[in-house]
Amino acid sequence: MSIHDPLVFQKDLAALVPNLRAFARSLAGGADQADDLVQETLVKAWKHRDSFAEGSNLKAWLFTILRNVFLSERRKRKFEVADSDGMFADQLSVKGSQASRMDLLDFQKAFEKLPHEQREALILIGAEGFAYEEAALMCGCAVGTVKSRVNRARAKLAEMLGVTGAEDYANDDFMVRTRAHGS
Amino acid sequence: MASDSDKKEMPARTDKVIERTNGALEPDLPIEARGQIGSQLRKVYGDMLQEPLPDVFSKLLSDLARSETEGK
Repeated sequence: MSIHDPLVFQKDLAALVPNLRAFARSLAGGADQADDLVQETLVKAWKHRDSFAEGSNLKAWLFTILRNVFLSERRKRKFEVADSDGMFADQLSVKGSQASRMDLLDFQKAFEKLPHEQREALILIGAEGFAYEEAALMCGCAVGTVKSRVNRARAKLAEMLGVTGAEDYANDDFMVRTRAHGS
Repeated sequence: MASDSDKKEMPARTDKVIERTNGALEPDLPIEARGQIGSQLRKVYGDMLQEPLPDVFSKLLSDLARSETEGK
């Protein structure tokens, strides 16, 4: 059955909404803004579904749309960058989490200090498992740029979180020099 | 003379060195540090994927699908 069958496409989109929400939160920060972003993405995806090449990666296609919506809304200054809500604000009371509450708080705070290009790269590569080449296509940049962003994101996070053995590898051009512990 | 101790440790402690950017080699984090960052990231991300979805999304999708099959 063709993916352009409305019911099939609806089902395929629905299956990816959790991923879209998670990606949107890493870009937009607040949960409400992220959900708005996802809805706009779904509407756009639906409108342009004939341009989706059957057999290609639907998630990558949707993530690219979401990313473009985010950037154009940001240009219109609709979204604040990393507001006080926090990307993972709702995650602090997850059940069965082995990480302590303080660990998750620290991670959230540290993550939000990253520039959005680095947050995006880290999510695509480290959380969603896209290949570097795919991520580069989605972000409209070179593979080396994605790698560089991921490495810098990791180095900054590691330094902010006080991860052992990372100090020698941290870059000097941090936006914010803070220590997570004791804050 | 002692040269290695003056420089930052390079590939011996890492499993990967990325290509040159801005004319300087950027060594990746040691694998243990990367592992810690990665697993925290994936834990938090994975938890978010498990969240129950607000109704708005399924409603939006069924509205979009219905507007296709009806109308025109």
